[in-house]
Amino acid sequence: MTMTATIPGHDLSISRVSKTFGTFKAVKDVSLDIKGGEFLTMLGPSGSGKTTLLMMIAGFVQPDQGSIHLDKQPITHLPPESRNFGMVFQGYALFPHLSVFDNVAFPLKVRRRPRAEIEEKVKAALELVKLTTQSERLPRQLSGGQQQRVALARALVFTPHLLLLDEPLSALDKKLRAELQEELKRLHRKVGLSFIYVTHDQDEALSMSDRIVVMSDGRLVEQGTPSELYDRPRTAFVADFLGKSNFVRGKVESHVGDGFVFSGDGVRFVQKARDAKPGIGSKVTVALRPEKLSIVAPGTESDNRLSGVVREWNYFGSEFRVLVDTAGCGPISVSLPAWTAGNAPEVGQSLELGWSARAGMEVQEA
Amino acid sequence: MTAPADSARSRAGLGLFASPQTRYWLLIAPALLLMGVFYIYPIGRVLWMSVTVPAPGLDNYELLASSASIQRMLWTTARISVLTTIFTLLLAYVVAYALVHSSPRVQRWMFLGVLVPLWISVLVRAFAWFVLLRREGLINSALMATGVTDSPLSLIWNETGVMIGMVHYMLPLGILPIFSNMRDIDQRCIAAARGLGASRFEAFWRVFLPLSLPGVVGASILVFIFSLGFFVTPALLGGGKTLMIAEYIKVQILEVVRWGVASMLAAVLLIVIGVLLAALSRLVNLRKLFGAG
Ligand SMILES: Nc1ncnc2c1ncn2[C@@H]1O[C@H](COP(=O)(O)OP(=O)(O)OP(=O)(O)O)[C@@H](O)[C@H]1O
Ligand SMILES: [Mg+2]
Repeated sequence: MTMTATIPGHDLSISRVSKTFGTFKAVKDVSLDIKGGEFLTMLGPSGSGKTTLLMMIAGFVQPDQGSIHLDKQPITHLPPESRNFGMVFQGYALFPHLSVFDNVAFPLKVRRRPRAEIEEKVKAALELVKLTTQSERLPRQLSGGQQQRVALARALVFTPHLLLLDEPLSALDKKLRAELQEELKRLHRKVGLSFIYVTHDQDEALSMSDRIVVMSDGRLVEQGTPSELYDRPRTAFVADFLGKSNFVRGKVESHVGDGFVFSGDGVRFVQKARDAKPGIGSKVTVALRPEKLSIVAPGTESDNRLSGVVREWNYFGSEFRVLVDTAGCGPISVSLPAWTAGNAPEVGQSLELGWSARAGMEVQEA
Repeated sequence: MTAPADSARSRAGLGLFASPQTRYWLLIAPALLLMGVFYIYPIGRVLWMSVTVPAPGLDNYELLASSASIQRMLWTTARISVLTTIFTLLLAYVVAYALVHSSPRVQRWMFLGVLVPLWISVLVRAFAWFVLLRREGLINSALMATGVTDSPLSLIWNETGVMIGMVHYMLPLGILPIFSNMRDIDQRCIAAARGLGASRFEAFWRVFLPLSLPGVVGASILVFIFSLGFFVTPALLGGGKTLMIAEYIKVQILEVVRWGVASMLAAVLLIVIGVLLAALSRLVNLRKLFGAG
């Protein structure tokens, strides 16, 4: 079968594309390069322009400005049927009047492939997505997960240059979603195509992607590997959208070692600088992951300390999430592994939070 | 099923309104009575007359096999109805396609254009066509002024005229079922077809057209049934030369007074339409076609 691991990946290059609907700017000056074989995820809140960008890549929407190249060839104005991209739509868009087999055979039929080849490739594609016994059924006779697989097989059967997926799992329940995430990753490794994957589920983005592109309000805010974006986000938006963050704001007072001291509302903190140290007197924002904070006993050593009162807590099986009202920094949420937390903190209890200078993340406000 | 509490309540209530069933029957009784007296009974009489007038027996039905003029008339009726249906559907499909693909604002205006003719009397419309189509009419004088033809075309007092008038009348009946079916087609399926390599035409041919067929089938049977029994337009635009079944029946009753033949033909029409409706109901959801559900 030609579909396994032998397809050379194709490079896609998007440069400075914009799209306006009426007076509304849905995509603003986005540039993006996708390497052959990469699993790229576009992540962003609803209405941030992910689908519009994907539709421009697929050729359904024409950009007002900018250009798109595939392997250095301009494809900006090519109609969708000439691009040879596989696409899985939100809601799958299977053809309701065609059987599973005919759905998957569709791209080959419109390419006028010989019968025997169609037969063979459809079979292989259905095997690839583990759906071999139901090929005579109609889409409405299948479960959501099975329909999803048919859509995948249909998008892969004609060995496309790359695969575009618009929230392909959002209609499925949590367990099935996790299962299909695994399978999509396996499939990606196996076929070696670039996948461009749209989602607004941050866990999905973190667990599946080689690279994540975060979009907000039509702009590309930040991109990087999952761990780059999670551990060292550059912007407050990403720090808060990808996982949750607390924010501590203040002015730089002095430089120490590889970091700086800043104070907000009378409380002093030390923080390791991201690159160059910010100038004395400049405003800084530091993002703190709830799981990087801990409750420290009075008198113990800690780079930063902040006292507060427990407002509320919730139990999540593996962890407690505690909301602490602090003096100077407002409510701060802390997550404590349930197995070390011992007794649950009590509402109204005073305590001290601590974190190391390396735990915080210096970020830019939007 | 009725819950125990429910039945207890109805036992305690007035005997007359004992069950919801009785209540509903009472409510629709006047309407049923009206239907029975003015609709079911006359139809029954017609069917009865077709086998009893002038003498009991199937003599009237024998005419179907023996009378050349009746056969010719039935053939004309069938031919005109089939052609009307075909032309109506071709036009209706194009209009419905344009309707579903236009913006809501344009759609509203187009709908008005489709529906307004429905509110204008069929008589007025036939006369309007008469004004347009006659030898000295607008269309012929325009064609001759521009030099397309030298002598006026005969567009009226023949089957062409009848069909123009009928297609015009039937158009909304063709458009509405097709439109309501097309509106339910998932546009993403068409986009998916394009994305998977189908050209515009192929996406239409392989996906849109098959998905719109139920509407087309429904519309065609609807239009065909209406065409079969059409009276005013053929009578006015056919000029007495194009005799369809409805006018033939009228002539039998009012002019030659052969009630038996007339009622036999009416019965035949009734049976044909009944069979077509039965076929239609197997193919598409009738309630949806006629706007309910
Ligand atoms: N054809 C269109 N006409 C007008 N506005 C549009 C059109 N398509 C998208 N928009 C607008 O552009 C914005 C971005 O839409 P888009 O579908 O790209 O968002 P998204 O990031 O995919 O959101 P979601 O996660 O909800 O799918 C939205 O505000 C939307 O209303
Ligand atoms: Mg979207």
